[in-house]
Amino acid sequence: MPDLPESARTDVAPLVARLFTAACLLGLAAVPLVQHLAPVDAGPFSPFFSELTALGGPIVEQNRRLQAAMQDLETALEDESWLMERALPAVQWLLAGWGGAGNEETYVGRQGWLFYRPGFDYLTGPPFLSAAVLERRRQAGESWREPVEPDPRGAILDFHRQLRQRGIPLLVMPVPTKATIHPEALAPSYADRRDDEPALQNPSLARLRAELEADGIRVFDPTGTLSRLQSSAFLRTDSHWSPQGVDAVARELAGRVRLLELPFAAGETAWQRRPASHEGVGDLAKTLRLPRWGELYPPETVDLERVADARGRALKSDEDAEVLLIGDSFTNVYSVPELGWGHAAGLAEQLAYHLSRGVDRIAVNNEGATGGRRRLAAAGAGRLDGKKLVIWQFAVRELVTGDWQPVSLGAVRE
Amino acid sequence: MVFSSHLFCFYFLPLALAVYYALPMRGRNLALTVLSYVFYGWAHPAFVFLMLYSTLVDYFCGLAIARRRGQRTALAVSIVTNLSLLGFFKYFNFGADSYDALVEALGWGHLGLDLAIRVTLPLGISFYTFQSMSYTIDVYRGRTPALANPIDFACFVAMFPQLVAGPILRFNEISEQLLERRHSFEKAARGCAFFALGMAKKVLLANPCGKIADFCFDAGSAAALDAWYGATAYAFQIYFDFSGYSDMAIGLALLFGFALPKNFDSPYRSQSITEFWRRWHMSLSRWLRDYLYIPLGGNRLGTRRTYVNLAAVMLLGGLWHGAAWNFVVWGGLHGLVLALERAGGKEKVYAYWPRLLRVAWTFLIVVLSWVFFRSADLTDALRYLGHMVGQGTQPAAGLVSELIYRPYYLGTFAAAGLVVWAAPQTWDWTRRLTAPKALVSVVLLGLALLAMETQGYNPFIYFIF
Repeated sequence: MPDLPESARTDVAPLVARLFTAACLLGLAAVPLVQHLAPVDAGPFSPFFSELTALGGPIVEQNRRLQAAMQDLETALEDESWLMERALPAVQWLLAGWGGAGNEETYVGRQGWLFYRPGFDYLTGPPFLSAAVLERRRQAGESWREPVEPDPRGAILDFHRQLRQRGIPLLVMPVPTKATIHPEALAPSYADRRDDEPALQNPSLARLRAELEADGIRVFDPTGTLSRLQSSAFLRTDSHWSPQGVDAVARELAGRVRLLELPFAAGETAWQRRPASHEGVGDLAKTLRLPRWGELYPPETVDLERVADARGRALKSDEDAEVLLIGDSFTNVYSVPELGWGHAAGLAEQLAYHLSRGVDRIAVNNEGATGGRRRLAAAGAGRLDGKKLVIWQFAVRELVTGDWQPVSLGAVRE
Repeated sequence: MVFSSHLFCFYFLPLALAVYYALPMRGRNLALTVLSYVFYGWAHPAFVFLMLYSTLVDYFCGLAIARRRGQRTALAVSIVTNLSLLGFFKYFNFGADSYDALVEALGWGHLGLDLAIRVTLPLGISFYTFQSMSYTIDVYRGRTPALANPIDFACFVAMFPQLVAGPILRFNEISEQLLERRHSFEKAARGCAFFALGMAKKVLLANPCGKIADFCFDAGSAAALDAWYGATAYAFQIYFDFSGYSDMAIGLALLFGFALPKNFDSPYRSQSITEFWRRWHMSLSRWLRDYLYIPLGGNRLGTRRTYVNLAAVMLLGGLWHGAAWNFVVWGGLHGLVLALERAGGKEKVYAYWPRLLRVAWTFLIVVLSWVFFRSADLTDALRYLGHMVGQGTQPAAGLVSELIYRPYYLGTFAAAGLVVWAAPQTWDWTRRLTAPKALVSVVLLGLALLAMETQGYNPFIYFIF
């Protein structure tokens, strides 16, 4: 045998060598064997093999589809892994309970508070409008996906222009991140902040606001409104604002709308509000996937004010309303039951109550940047008929994570 | 596909070993080659053709050189092909961006390229092109015979344990093992130990330290102490990430019967930058020495030329790591310190320093230079260095401070420091495998696999080179 590197030689007893090797390799092999012993179907492999057999067309396109299929297979194998299902809760409990660390999406605050990572990154990161940051975001991402458009200005200005052609003003409302309003819940060093100190923000937000307003776009930043609340403006274990936060912002927003003196055709309608309690588990607590035996973040109870008409029927989105609210999950929370926090008590409903008129709502969770506008465009040109105002709500974190694509609303109807 | 992933550990590796050992000896190189192409193609299927092309060019060039037919031409074809591939895929974007920046700065923006196309960097191209080139150069120099069997050569280039992040193999380090190698439980046991320790380094130490570094480097600002903490955490991250990968590569190679050379020798225990480069990424250092420094003349052409050669090697070495000016600066800094140590004479410069101070001073230089390595660009690096001396702290920096000192991160950071300066090397620890050591390895592997399941996608830093 040739003179081999030292790694080829090991002083190990034969039995130890066999047992150790077997333990390692059989242990690794056991995971997929246990995973796939029982089911007859191919599980996550089925879509992957289907994609393989369906390949055709230009090589670049085939390459992209194959990459996407491989990524999907890898994700599916991890998500459906029995080892992950059993190991993750316990490991996460250790990390969150003892280590003070969350996971890739959720950071652990103080006294039972949880924070969403994108919001944290927005707040602590570099200016989102800096050329270098925008360029890095454009070049990041998987090679088989279309590059994102990180600069929000183009999309917002384009939307404003299209609405102006239809005679509809635009009001933009970026909702602050939880750590802006409650930094002391993440870091005790902020507990002694004075009321007159400016709220924590990304350095580019002020610049964005100035540029939008210079182009005639109205901007309502509810940071001050939320900061002045005596009670918590955000839920502890959820990424969204509290019902009190929603109501305060809706009241302030309604005041801003009234100041615009828009030529509403319809008269005002008096809605009523009925108190209700609702218990739910925060979305951030859910992402931690903690074990049942190690409940670190119990469900929260919220006090809602459900908006109803004179007959007591819960208020719904009104497509004929003259005010259209486009938003994301901050609009949907307390409105749609799927988010787990009740219904008829969200931003659209509270705005309707304070405005004393119906509000139309289009909201897509996690897609404040583009999803709402796409859904509006898909609804057809008629959806904007009769609208006197469009309010576009998005979470500020979208300014560092969102894909701000222009969306055409189609030709202007005469 | 990365070693520290669910797909690789539980699906690819067991399947690869099963296929490999199910075949007779003569089919195993082919099996390993095919498996390696599948492994490589998982990241970007189209680029397997690129690697195949490079492999075929060098295979035929090697044959031509061995048969003494247009030896110089064949060597030139090999070098030009490999460097062209590397140059285009790795440096096209850098060149175009630098050109645009230059003409813009000179007020000639109308001459800018402003290209919409961005070239994607193929995984591991820096490694397999260097490795493949070393083959033709060594055949030309008569140090090694050419391989007649194209499968064996393809196996050498593509072997997945070391394909995408080294160690960079010299052909003569593995040539005879391609033709004949022994498979034994002794090798496999050490391979498992290397793999287990490498996984533990990567998942249990590198990744959490990397999170600390991410908090600090990705933030718009950081307090001075936090910035130092983040930079040091990055030094730990890159070391455990890369040496952990090398350990895993060596371990995997042993499972397939190959013995690879050492790639790290406790570099943070170095007492000078000169010594650091004898201990860090040893396979690259050897490659640069044998194929660049010595052909340029090494230290045989006078003092001035020696410094020029040192500077050239370190600048090009920096550029090899990344197509950006911050990598050039990183390489340049190391080159400068190497030159200063050489000029002063290492013994004179540090003669009166206690060992601890020499190690600390060397580590300080390394940490400061890593700032250029980690930062997104030169501007970012200078900004971060400013944070390290207390400049530019924003109000939100306190949020970062709160998270990075949490028990999990601080504990991992401390453990990393302990391992760096007090623990035995994987190489030494696995030289004699007792039952307790085997048990410790199994436990570490288990912990690493559990932690891996909770972490997201965690590629190796050197995958991007």
